[in-house]
Amino acid sequence: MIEETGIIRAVLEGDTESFRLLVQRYQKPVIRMIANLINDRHTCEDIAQEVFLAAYKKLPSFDPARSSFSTWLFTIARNKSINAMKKMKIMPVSNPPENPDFSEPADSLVRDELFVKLDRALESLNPKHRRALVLAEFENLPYDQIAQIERVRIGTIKSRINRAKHRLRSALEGIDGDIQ
Amino acid sequence: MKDNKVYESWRLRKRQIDVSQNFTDRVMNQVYQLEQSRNITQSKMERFIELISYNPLAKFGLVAAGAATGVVRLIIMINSILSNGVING
Repeated sequence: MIEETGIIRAVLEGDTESFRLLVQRYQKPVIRMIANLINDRHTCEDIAQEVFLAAYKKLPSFDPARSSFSTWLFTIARNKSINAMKKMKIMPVSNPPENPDFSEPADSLVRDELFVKLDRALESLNPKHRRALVLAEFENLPYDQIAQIERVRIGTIKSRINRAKHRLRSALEGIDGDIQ
Repeated sequence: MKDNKVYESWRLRKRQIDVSQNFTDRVMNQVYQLEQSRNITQSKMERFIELISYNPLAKFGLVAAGAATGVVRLIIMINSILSNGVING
C-alpha cells in the first residue's frame, strides 16, 4: 500500500492521476458516512463527488502536521453533509434489505421492524449527536479523531455518543420480538 | 442482550454500502475538467502578460486606462466633498 503522504506529494507536484488512489481508498467510508447522515441514497454519491473535488482543490492547504488526511477529508464530508441537509428536505429511510442470516421469515419481519425503529430513532437524533454516533459506530473512528472533525473536546464527543445510544436503546425498549 | 444483538446487526447493515462502479471515474473526470479550465485561465493570463510586456501600445493602453480610472475617482471624490461643503455651509 502506497503511503498517503507520497500520494499527496505526487498530486501536488502535478501528477493528477495519483489522486485516483485517494478516491479509491476513501470513496466507501465517505459515501457511507454521508448516506448515514442524510438518509438519501440517491444524492449521497453526488455529495461525495463534491467532497473529493473540494479535497482536490484544497489539497495545497492540507497540513499533515495538524491532522491526518482521513480526518481532513471527513471534516470536508461533514461540512458538505451539513450544507446538503440544510438545502434538502429530509427523506424517509428506505426499507431495510433482507438479511440472509435469518432462518425464519417471521424473525426477518420482526428484525426488519426493529431496524426501521432504529433508523427512525437515528433520524430523530440531534444532528450533532447523530454525526458523533455515525463516525464512531459506522466508521469506527476513534474519539480523538471525531473530536478533531467536530472541533470539540473528547468529553463532549463521549457525551454525545452516550446520549445517542440511549435514544436508540429507548427505541428498542418494550418490543417483544422473537429474535435469537 | 437481545437488544445488543439487534443493535449489532443493524450497525453491520448500516456499514454495508454499494458504491457505483464508475464513481472514481466520475470524480476523476471532474478533476481533469478542473485542471483543464485552470490551464486555460493560466494560459490566457500568460498571453495577456506577454502582450503587455512586448507591445508598447498595449503597455501605453494599460497605463492610460489606469490613469483615467484614477482621474475619474478623483473627480467623484472632489465632487462629493464640494457638494457636502455646500450642504453644510
